[in-house]
Amino acid sequence: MIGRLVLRRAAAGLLLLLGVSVFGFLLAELVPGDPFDPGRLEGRDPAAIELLRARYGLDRPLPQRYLRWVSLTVRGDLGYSLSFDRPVAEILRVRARNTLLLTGIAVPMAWLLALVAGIWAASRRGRWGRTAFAGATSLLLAVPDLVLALGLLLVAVQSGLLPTGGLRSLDFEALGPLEKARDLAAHLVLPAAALVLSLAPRLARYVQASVAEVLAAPFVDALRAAGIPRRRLLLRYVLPAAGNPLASLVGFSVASLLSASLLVEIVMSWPGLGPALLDAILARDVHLVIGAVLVSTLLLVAGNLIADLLIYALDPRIRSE
Amino acid sequence: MSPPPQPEPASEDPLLEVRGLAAGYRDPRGGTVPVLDGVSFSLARGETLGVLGESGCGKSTLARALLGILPAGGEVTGGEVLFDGEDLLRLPEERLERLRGAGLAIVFQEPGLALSPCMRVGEQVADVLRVHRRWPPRRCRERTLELLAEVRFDNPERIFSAYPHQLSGGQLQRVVIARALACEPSLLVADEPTAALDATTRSEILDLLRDLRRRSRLALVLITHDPALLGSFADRVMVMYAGGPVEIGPLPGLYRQPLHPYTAALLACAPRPPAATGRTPLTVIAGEPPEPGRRPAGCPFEPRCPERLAACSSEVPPWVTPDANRPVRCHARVG
Amino acid sequence: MSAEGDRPPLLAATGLSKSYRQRRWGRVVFRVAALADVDLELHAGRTTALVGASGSGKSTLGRCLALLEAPDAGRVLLRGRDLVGAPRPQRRAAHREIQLIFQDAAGALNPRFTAVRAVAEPLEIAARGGRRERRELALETMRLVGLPAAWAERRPLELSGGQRQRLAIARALVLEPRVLVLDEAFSGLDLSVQAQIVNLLQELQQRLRLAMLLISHDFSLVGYLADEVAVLDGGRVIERGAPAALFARPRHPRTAQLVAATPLLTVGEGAG
Repeated sequence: MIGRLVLRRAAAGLLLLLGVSVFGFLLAELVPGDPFDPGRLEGRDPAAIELLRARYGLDRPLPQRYLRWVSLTVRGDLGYSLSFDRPVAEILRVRARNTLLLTGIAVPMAWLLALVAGIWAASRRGRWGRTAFAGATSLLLAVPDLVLALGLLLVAVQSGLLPTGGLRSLDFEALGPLEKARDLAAHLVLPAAALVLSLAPRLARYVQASVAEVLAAPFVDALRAAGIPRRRLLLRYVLPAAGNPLASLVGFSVASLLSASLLVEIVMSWPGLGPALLDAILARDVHLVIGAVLVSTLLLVAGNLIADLLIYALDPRIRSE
Repeated sequence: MSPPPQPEPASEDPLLEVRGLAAGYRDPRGGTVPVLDGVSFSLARGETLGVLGESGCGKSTLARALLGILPAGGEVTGGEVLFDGEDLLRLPEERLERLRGAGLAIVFQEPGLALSPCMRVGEQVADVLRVHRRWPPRRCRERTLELLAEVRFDNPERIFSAYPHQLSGGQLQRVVIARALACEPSLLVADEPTAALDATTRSEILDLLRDLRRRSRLALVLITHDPALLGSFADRVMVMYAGGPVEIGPLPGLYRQPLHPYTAALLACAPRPPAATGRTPLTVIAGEPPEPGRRPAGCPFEPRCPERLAACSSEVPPWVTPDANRPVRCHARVG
Repeated sequence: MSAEGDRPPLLAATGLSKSYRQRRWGRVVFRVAALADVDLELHAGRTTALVGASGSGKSTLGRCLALLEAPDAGRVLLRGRDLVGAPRPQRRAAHREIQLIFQDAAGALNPRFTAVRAVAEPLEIAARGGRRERRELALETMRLVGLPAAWAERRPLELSGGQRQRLAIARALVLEPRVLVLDEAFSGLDLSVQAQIVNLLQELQQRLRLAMLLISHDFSLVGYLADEVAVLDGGRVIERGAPAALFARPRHPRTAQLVAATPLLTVGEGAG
């Protein structure tokens, strides 16, 4: 049964990718100009340009060009980026890895923070804890991501404790393995913090709401009546029961983090998909734009699949459907 | 308005003694709306007390107040609940946690709402053993399988690993009973345990409770709106009206000759086979019971009572004992 | 017993069969016969009771008679005309004449509708009368079931369980049905409330010549209210008869079991 679920979701993801690619292609077509316009590529060998035009079929009608692009894409060839002067796949592989590194750290941390804060707030019986929670999350939600990122940068610059941009220091290659890790971690702190602070309050509110809802369920009374201590009740019974609505949020959290990371990566010059996409758009580098959008969509589909699998694991009612 | 002490005959081996228990719900506009008032009774080991009352009389609040699990906004406003000599209302929460599920347990009306939907039902029973007995997981599991067999499951293994949505109402209620009895409590409070079940399952559950009671000297407080349910089950019955008891007495005497006008009126509402001359309409009680917070100053049954006296509307009726073990709270029975 | 044989039944089921596919433990799929070749007749002004263990098919039969479920085989005849295969408009008209009230029917009330709106809604759906007329008729029906006009603007949550069940009954009665199917409609109600509603239904039955099907596990109620009882077991009618005789001397062993399993209230002479 789980196989069927994965198959169904994968098929839906494939359809989504297909739709996104068609949409991206059409948009690129609407952009005036030719990516291999000789005027924009002065100083290059005209023969090489012609070769590229032929390889990507720019001299053929749109449907054919699309089909050709699809057939190349499934073979791993996402086109050629003229602004980087390298194959798109090669650029995106590095960029996607960097974005994954950042989001792979920020998503779990945001969830951890949100779970701790949300559960704490939901289990407060007094008014104070809940007011403090609502105040703190409202404040963080009200601050725009850009202001948050700039604020963090400002703090880092003022204190001088943390590197304010990039992935690694200039002398990275000269460092030993342990120092390499430390250098990477130091560079991760700011962008990860910006992402966590942008995502966690939103998640925490959901956690608080769904835990509070389960706490009000009759079975919690029945368990209290059976003498299950409060802490055990919360962690062993309430949390899994609140897990279903939260697991569906995992997909959402990946999605919103991807869009937030575009901004944060650009502001903090983290060499991920965000800056690549921005550069590509500015340079009308069509293949790179579509490639970056596709990879983002792929990450999104993967995030949602993880969410579905989580729900499946958490909710026995869905399992026996 | 604390009632005079009730001349409840002290049983020789009291397990539970409730004295003047009062509870209410906080009104968002301020103050407390009283729901329970002046509830006093005692229960011996192995005895079954039926609590009979119609909706809104406070019987579910009583069940929850006994275990200290009133829902949000509810609070006990007075009285004592002596369980094995200890006043539950004055115990610290940790002490109470250790007692709940071990010394006294409760079974609710809706078995489907008493179990977590996300955990195997066997685990939920075993967890109670883990918490109270602190046994290793393996032993908890084995004992749970025994318990499931005791509540008459033919295949405890399969039930153990089922999730609540895979079981029927009757099966769930048996699991809930197994969980309630896991640590061999001496008192079980059952609040309408069969109201959500169909007739056949109902009699199975009652049968099971009867059997468990006989085997373990379990004392039972069985709360219901249905006099027929108690008829074959309870040793004594406490009849409640508008938040307080009006009459307590043993069966079958209380049904044969009810002393309080409300008890008489309630029992008279029960349908019985029509006479040969044809069907006559059922007896009804005129009017509606008073809502909490709008109860009259005197006897709450006064507006509907066929035997009301001048004193009834202004004075709280006293407990009187026309018969030594049949206390009743009624002006019309004084003297 | 009056002579019911002379008059044709108002509503009759002949040879009704129905089975469900059932899943157990997630996978095993098998078919369960809920009804197997059941005949039943309901007469104007009379009450037939249906008793049986859980899963005996009582509710399925009730739902088939109320046209809420289609049988696999057999016919449901209203005044002799088959409804199962009838065209939609005819079925819809018949639907209004046959009303079902189930246990906790009150739970199916829209919590945002006021009482009078809830009662008027079926009229609205049937596109009957103007807004004012419908409201008048709804108020009158509420009075009939003992809900004073003062409560017309209350919402279900502001009413007690008994009042809500009366509201559900008013909703069923507002279309002036000829047949009432009461599927455990009194289960969980307090005795005093049950007595009020039962009296009301009897009054209406006499006045409107209602045919009633009482599905109940409460043998005291069945004994009091029913003119005839049918015992269902495994989807088949295993025994029929007058309630007094049937409960006193059940012929089928399953009936005897059923009677033995049901607690009856024995109240003394002093209580009457």
